[in-house]
Amino acid sequence: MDTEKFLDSIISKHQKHDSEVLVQISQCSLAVGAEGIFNSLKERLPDDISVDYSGCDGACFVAPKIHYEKDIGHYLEDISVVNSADSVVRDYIDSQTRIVLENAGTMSASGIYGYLRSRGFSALGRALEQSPEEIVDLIEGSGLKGRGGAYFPVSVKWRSALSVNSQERHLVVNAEEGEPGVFKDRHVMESVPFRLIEGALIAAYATRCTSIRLYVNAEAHLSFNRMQKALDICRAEGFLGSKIMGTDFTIEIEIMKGAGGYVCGEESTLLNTIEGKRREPRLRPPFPTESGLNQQPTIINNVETLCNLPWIILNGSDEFRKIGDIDTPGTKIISLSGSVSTPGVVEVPMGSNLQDLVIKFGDVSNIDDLSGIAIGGPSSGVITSSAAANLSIGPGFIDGKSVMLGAGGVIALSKETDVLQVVRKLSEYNANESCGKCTPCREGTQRLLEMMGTGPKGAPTDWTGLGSLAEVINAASLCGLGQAAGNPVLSYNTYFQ
Amino acid sequence: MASVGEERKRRNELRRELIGKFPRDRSSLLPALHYLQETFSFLPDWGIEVLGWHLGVPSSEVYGAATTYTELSLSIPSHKTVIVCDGVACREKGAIQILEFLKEKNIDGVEIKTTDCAFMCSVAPAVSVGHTWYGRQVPDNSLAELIEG
Repeated sequence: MDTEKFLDSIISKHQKHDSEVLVQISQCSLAVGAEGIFNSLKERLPDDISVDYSGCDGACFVAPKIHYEKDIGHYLEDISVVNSADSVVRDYIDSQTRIVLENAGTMSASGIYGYLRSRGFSALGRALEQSPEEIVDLIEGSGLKGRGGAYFPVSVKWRSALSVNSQERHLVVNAEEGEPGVFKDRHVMESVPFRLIEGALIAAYATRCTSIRLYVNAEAHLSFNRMQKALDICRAEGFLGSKIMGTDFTIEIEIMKGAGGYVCGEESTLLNTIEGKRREPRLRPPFPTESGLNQQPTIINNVETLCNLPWIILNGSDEFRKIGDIDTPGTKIISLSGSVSTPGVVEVPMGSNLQDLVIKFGDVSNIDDLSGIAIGGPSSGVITSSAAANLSIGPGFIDGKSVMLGAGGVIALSKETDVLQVVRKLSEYNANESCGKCTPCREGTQRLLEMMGTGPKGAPTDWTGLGSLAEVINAASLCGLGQAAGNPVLSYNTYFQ
Repeated sequence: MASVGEERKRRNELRRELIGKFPRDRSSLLPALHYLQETFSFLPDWGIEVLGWHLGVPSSEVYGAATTYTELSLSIPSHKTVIVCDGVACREKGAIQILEFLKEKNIDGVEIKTTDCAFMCSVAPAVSVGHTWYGRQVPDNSLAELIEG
């Protein structure tokens, strides 16, 4: 049976409900009462209108929201809820470029049919009809880079693991989203869980992996539950397990939960925690692609990275290259928060201007009213809002010095905010999260804090000393946390001194 | 204190449960620690020992791994805990004022903690009461009632 027939046979089993109401329930909306709205709608809507849930579409600033096609306004009279079709939401979402978050919020996250109707799993079907090498070539042609923060070319990582001769090869999906200010992977898992599964299956097929582990952040309970449910559905419908989509491709996805700590998102630490070892990074080389999980070649890809794969297969690498930057094609999901009027999740082309992004999607009327912008969490730093005018989002140090986009957290700081306090807060975070393995990070991050003082009046005097200590920490630490732990101080030195 | 007989009984019970749920492999360590924490709301030392027996991992190493994770707790949670996120984004929206307000209110039997990020920056500021997070909080009596309730 070919995969298209397989898809048709599954879709035809299910009749589409004419009138469907979707309550957008995500971690963000749960905290502002989405569940109550879901329950009261279930109670008051007539039986011919089905009530289901989706994830948040990214316009968190007006959450809770519901999505419906038929007019049910009179049932909602005393419920305070926003329709996802309202112009304020549409303007926000329609001006984005959506690949990973396509149909987020307007598609059920509880069942697979909404996803199947929007061409879900047809990319996997198409991939399974080609050879793994062809898929790797296609992804190489697309120029896709990892979206976890390091922007390493996906095909290079894949080929490196493929070059190792081994019976076993593992794919680990890194959903240990732990960078303060970033909440995009949660949104992806909560709104398009099946896209992540499809992406992971494509990656595993292309790289001839024998197992897939999905490693979810310990605090992302909703993401975990939703992924677990999606995996069960996929198993029941023949998209996971043996003979996937009627082909000979057979693989399982095992889901597990982390137990807290920023450093767990670092790939070799993540492998240690899966193996039941202490939460600390490993020496490299050997890199995980050569010797990772149980000393077997292991590919670790971020949630957002994998969710790009179905789109690339369906639309081709040339189409993908038309979006974003010439060196880094595609989109990036930005988690926008802080002193903006409209915080939320925004998917924009790579290379977008940082200041424009904050003004447009944050609805900031006067950019000079901001004292600065914190970018990329504690591994990066702060810049002035005027400096953001010359920066675009992309890999590495976007200003060539000390500020990285990382996983894409952008926090606007109001005029009242003391930027030095923000730098202290970020440095304090690095000091608390240091696992203690490397001396420069363990001792250095504490010393940085001491040198910075505590009270608002205790402003540091020895900025040269602080700067050189920050550089030593960055140069002499083993993992990504330590190598970036000095960045908040360095960025403050660059932009605010 | 449990008598020696009771102590042995509860250890055996836990051991049987662990045998049923987790393969005897070191990679079961983290899932099993989660299970202990869910069952007892913390990791009792005798539970760590039993888990070590089952997995064939010295309990010192189980302890060593367990203490590196921030989500796992080795002591009994004594108070009702309220967590205020005081990350950069929540501070922008008034987390410090919430902390000051709660300090001043000094609600009986409630322990106030902070976290560096609750990942709810888009509905900041966020406060957790009894494992449920609430977004867009303001320092007023409705928050106090939420905590007291």
